Amino acid sequence: MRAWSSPVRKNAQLIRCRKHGILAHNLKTTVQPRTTAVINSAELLNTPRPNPFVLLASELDYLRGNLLRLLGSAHPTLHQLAQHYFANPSKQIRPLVVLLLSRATNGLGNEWEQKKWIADCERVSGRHEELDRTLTRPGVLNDCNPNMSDDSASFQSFFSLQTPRILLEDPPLPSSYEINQNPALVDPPTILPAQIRLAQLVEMIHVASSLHDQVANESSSPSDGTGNKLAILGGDFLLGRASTALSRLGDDEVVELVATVIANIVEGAVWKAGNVGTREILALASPAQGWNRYLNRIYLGSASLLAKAGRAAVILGGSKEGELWKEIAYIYGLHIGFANQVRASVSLSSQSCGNDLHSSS
Amino acid sequence: MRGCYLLCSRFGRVPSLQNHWRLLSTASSKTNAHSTTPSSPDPFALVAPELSRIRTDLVRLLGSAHPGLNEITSYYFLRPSKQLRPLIVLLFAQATNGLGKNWPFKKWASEQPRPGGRAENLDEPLSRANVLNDWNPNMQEKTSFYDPLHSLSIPPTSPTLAQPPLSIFSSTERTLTSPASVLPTQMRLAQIVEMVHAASLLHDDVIDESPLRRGSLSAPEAFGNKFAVLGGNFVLGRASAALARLGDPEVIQLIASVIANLVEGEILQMQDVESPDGEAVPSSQVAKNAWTLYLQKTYMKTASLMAKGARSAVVLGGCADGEVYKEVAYAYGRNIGIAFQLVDDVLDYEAAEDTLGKPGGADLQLGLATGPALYAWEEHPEMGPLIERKFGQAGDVELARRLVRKSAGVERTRALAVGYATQAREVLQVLPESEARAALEALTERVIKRRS
Repeated sequence: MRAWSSPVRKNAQLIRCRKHGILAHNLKTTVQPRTTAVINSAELLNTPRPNPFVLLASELDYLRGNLLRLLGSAHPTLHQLAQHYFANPSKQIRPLVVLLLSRATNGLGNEWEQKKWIADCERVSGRHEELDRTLTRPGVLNDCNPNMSDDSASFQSFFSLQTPRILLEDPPLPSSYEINQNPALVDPPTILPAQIRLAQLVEMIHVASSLHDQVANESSSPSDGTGNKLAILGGDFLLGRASTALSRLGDDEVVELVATVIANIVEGAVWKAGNVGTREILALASPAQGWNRYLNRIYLGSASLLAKAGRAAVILGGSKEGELWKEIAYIYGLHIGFANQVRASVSLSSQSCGNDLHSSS
Repeated sequence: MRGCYLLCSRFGRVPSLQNHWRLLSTASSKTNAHSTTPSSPDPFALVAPELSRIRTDLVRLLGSAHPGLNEITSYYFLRPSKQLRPLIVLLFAQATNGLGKNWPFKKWASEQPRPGGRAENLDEPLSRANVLNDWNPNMQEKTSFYDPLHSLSIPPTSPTLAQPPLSIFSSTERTLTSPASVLPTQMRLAQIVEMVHAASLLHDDVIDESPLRRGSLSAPEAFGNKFAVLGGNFVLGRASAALARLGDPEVIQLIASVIANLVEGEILQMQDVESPDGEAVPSSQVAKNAWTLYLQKTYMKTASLMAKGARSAVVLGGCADGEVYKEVAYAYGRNIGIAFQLVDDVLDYEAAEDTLGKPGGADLQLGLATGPALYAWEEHPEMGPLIERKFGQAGDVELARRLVRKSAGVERTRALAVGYATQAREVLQVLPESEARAALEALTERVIKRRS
């Protein structure tokens, strides 16, 4: 996939990836990269590169363990889901992309210092995400609300008016932190807790949508009922926790991005199904239209999540409007998403055609 | 109210309850559902113009390129609905706008062209259209399709937001606005709350295998299970995007937590009543656990959205930390939500299908022990094993129904609902008098008296 491994050059070049026909990477002449290093394409391809899965092994293990624990503790029935997830380990490509892009850009954004400050304050004050808290047990209501007390035993009587609380605020940001004076990659490479949270919730959304994808449309057998129920509840549980975690990342732009992913994934599934309900979609009029629909479908169902998650990771690292970093992240995620999905389709169709062609995994 | 007189005649041995019940039924037979005497205004009438716009505007937000998807996601909004949750949001907005410390700022912001400002800017995306690619035929200038030729380019810097004049912060007046007002953000919140509710209905109807909803085919019956589930996800996604554009982190957190509450309530419902941890417990403790579980589940599945929706409305109106108004909203929503669900559970035992619009007697069929069954258990210990096996054996459902009818389960559940509704009315007294407050009070009575 040479096209998207090509570096950003000072002089624009139109690079059309012939093998893959449609995708193009077009650089405008006004692009001024922040880094002054001249990148040589040949050098880049010959340099030994670290295995990303090894580089982030401990983070990925942590995320996998968290998700397993969450699924396993929710309810005995949902425990089955944990076992299934354990037996079919996900490659965790999506969290990986989030974590890698965080490492690759933390320190460059205009508001990096602010983000680091906020993360340090949270660590010191001990305010942790309740995302990992296991499900409610009788008598203990796990209802995380902003500015409100945890009301565990308050179902013994009618709910009375609570005294308003004033939350302790973070110490004010020192003015020298307001703008990143010397943007440079952080050394040693750092990933913020918020970015790890993002990686976690992105995987949750992926697992949730896979679960919902398995729901049978017609109940043809009695077992469909319980199977369906498990898949729906499991997916909903993950979506609910992901939504809560998303809302606590503290960034509206990121919330909007991920929210549109959830809607996009549904659109992808529906386009894949073709006609649904009583309204018909227009028949294809030409091969070009067919291509458009196909690419749109892959975007909606697969690439959108990676593109926007990558972008969100960089935003959480303090990249502001007008900066290039989140745009780069978006395009990277976009192309990885397409590559991943197209490879999977090729692998599937070569199996069904009985070819010897195996795509390398 | 024919049914209640029949029931009352059997309860010679519970005279005080009988009197209480007679009082309630006489009171309700005097006022009909649409009376608007000064002492009990029709809460729906007060904000009728706003309510009528809620669903048409909301459906606009759900547009996509796929016509079948549009059909599914708009399905539940085409049928008449009580719109109770948007009503609570709108009434609380009117009952508190002007009181909060940050009201002047919120008022000023609602006149600015920013995301989370003027009505027409609430749809303004926070990221560029060619990044979001959430094409909506109802908003063609603001949304776009995925473009395969999407390329890297330097994005424009966003314009700096206007700063409010300092005079805003020196205002010390804290009175309700006159006339009563609703900010564009609060209108949008009412829509978001209704969308979250509809999304949960779409999923619930699949899980409960309900054939009917609001008098027509349920979505899973009409479109299939999978697409009903996916439709619910889509509505949730669009609601969350709209939520982000309100620009209020506290409100985003509140509503997001409701999304988690809804499903965790559903899972709570699945828990075993007997001994969730597998340990032996005394029977009194088991009953207590059963009640706590039931009320927790009721809070999570029903009251949470009303409570946090109301709280969010007040936050959007500028209620600051340390001010009591958002606590009033939360306490009201929580109590009235529980009352509402308790009455729903009673109606499931009482009413026939045609008044409810959905199958009656559904709870027992689903294996659910609600208020009437739990009270009946106190009077008839033989109910215990039935509840434990979720009315799973042949004949269980009929026996349970007989036991409930024999007991005072329905009446006691109704009385409990009245208690919660009264509490909701009490907390309102902290607010200054207004038409909106009177409407909220009237609503607590309506919730108890409804027949469907």
